[in-house]
Amino acid sequence: MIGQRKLKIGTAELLLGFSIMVLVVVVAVPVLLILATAFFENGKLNVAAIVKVLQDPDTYMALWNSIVIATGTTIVSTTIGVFFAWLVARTDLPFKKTMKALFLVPFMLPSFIGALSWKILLAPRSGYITKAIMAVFGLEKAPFDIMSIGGIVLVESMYLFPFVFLQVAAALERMDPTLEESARISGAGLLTITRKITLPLVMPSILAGALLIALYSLAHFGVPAILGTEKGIYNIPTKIYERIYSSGGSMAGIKVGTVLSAILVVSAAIILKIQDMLLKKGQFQIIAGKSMRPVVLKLRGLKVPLLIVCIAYLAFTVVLPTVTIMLVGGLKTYGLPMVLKNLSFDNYIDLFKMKLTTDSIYNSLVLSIGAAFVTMLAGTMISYVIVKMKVRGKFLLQFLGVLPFSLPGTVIALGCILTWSGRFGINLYNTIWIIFVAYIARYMAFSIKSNSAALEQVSDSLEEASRACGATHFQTLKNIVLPLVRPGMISAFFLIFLPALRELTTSVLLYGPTTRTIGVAIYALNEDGETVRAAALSTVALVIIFTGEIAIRKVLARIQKQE
Amino acid sequence: MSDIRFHSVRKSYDGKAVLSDLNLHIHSGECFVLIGPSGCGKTVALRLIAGFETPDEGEIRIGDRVVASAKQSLPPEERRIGVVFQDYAVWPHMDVTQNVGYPLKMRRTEKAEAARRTVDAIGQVNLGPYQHRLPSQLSGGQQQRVALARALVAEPEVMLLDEPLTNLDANLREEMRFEIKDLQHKTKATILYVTHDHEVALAIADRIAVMDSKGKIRQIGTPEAVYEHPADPFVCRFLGVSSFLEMERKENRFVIRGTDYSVGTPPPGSVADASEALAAFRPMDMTISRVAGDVPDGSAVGFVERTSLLGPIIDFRIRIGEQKLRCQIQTEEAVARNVIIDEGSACALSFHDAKWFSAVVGDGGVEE
Repeated sequence: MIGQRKLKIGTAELLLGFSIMVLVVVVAVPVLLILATAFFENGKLNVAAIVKVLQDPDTYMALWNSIVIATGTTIVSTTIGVFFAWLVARTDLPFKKTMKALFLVPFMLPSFIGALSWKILLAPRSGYITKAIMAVFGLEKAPFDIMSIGGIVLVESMYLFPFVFLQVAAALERMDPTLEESARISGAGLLTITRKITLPLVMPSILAGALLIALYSLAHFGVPAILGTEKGIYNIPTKIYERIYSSGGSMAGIKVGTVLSAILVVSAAIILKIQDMLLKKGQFQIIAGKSMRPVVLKLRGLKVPLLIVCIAYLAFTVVLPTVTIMLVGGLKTYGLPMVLKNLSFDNYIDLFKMKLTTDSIYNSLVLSIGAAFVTMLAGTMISYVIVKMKVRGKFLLQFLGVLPFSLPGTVIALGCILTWSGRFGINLYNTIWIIFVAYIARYMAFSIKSNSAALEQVSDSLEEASRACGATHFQTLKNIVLPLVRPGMISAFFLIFLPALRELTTSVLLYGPTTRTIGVAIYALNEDGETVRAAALSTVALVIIFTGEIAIRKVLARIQKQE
Repeated sequence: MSDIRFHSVRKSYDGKAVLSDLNLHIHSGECFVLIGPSGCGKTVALRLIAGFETPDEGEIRIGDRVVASAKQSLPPEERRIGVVFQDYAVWPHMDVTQNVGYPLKMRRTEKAEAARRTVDAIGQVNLGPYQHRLPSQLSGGQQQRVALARALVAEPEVMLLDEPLTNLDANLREEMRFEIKDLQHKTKATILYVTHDHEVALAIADRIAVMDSKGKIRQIGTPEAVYEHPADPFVCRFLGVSSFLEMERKENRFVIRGTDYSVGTPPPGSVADASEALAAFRPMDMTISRVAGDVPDGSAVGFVERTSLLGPIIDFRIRIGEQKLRCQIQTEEAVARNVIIDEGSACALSFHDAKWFSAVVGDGGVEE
């Protein structure tokens, strides 16, 4: 009877309360602390400090470099991405399916490992290729220098172009071919069609991919750290790192870091706003859901040359750096010629004897599995509240949940330092837990996106039917909702696990003596001039990543088959 | 079994009132159809009974239990109801037996007993051979039968059906209509059936309530009563194709506005002494013939604007004075009487069964 029902805290209230708590603790507090530290001093708005940071040539050069690198990378990788996407989706290039899969391989190669490899190959004086060219042509000086802004742009582009490639290839494949056919019937030539019909139609996808790259590059630590720092070329993330470490983690360094972070956050917000506007504008109903057979351009005589271009590109950007890293990892001393007698497995064996490297492998595995699992669960819960529950103020949850997506890893790391260094009675600094909470914040958006998509497929009536059948809210979640969103949860797990495994940008600001991640260990070895060990550890990382990647694809394919 | 009562129920979304003061009594064991245009609040009424929504004001009772009031609300799982949804809401990860057995499992029915009743329920909806299929291996009609069996299996006091046939094709819809009626006779449950389809409503209901787009109930009665004696033009139009003629008083009788033709005499009552009125006709409430000689009382001459052959019936669009109406006749009869009148020709219409409504604006406007 109704009179006997007490007002009690039910499943819904628990879910809501827990979701708010997670997002406030993990996301809202760190971000607010960054802004507060950047703009306020002793409780007062402090504009002078901000102006001072911006007037310092050291810092505004970093800002300038960040912009130049991001712009250059975006232009170069968008050009590469669109070209290959068009080849794969719209021409009769041989082995298209295989090529399409291969073009995603650069994604798997962490860009800082790529940078390390290119430094080994192309550094002025010591680079293997540089030396060979100088010897052959009898040059006094190196003909080019990879350790420059141009070099950073090239290396970043090599490993970021799949962002554009994926988006554009998908759009080109799904585009309604009748749009092009009707233009053709109206007498337009292929060039006109491409210029007037195809390009405008896929423009939203191109721009979406391009802006994703801009966002990523702006806040990217690895490549500029390896190729730029030595030559005094800093972008914002490396400058934040430099300031914090040169000041020994003091508040002054952190203060400069927060101001720079605030700049990053604002730039990221602008980029995302532009992307949002473009995507909204570009929502013509041209891209049909069902897949259709698009018109394919016959390459004729260019077929084989273009295939060779594709293969050469991949060989140059993937195979060459990978092999280089593996071989250098086997060298007895860095700089020796690469001949069999100089190679051994000693470095690889040493890796498993050194505490630095064994720790790092262990830490990365534990962190990525743990963070992926926790973030997956938290994301499922938060997505449920956002998608399914009718509560006021849930837009705030949604905002907080996807906010970290636009927050550079450096910013998240700084926020975690400010939050978890004892200010609230909990000091996680120098422990693995501070990296753990940073990863949760950093990857929460992935989990929410994946879980929300799965939950939106679950119609409300499925839950209501269960309630009407006599199941409580909790039983309904357990029996109906969870089984139906499981695919979304699994994909969330892997979406987090793989990037977390190779993470560098965030962990480099948070590691302690025993809590290095693989990325940090490689970076540290390289900084210390232990190039061969850095290369060896990179090789191990690549093996873990590639095996993980393949295993996961197999698992996901099996799940999809079961569905 | 239990009756359902709404007492002064109010419900609004974002400040917009959907139900402003709903009072309704659904008798125990009857099949009650709530019909109205889409967005009128009929589904909200059903969801209030189910407990998916809570009323802002008022009280809802199932039997002698208050299940919802402004202060408290019994959660759906404690209301002992069965619900069938428009989109079936069959769980895709469970097979037919698991779907149908779920309510018994949740109510902790003893295993052997639960298994027996599940098989029974599946048999009742003729899905015996499909017990171990997943919903994705069933057709839409079969999925809706799973939903029906699932709603029935726990023998709820109240069954709520929300447009359960809308997603089915015409043939299946007719077949399922009979099955639902049949099941009701077997189970004796109180049924609330919500729909916008007047054919289903008239076929299945013991009583019908017609709701307008403001969530107000215009008329409640047996299908025969609401169909034959609609309370206002809205109800009349909503329950089937209707034509309305504006009538004016000329001397001592009503004639079609701007003409001298009458359509019969209104029954004694409110309209009889008014100066204006509305007369409504179903397409078969008049007989068409060729113009020949005098126009007797209760008849009119009009022009055929369009003639369409719709298979077994012929549909005429006719203009009389400034007003238009639709008339239908069996094709067979039309041929026999030679009244397939060409477009643009004159025709004679003799009216019967006119429904009279007061012409006062505001009391049941014709808008839907």
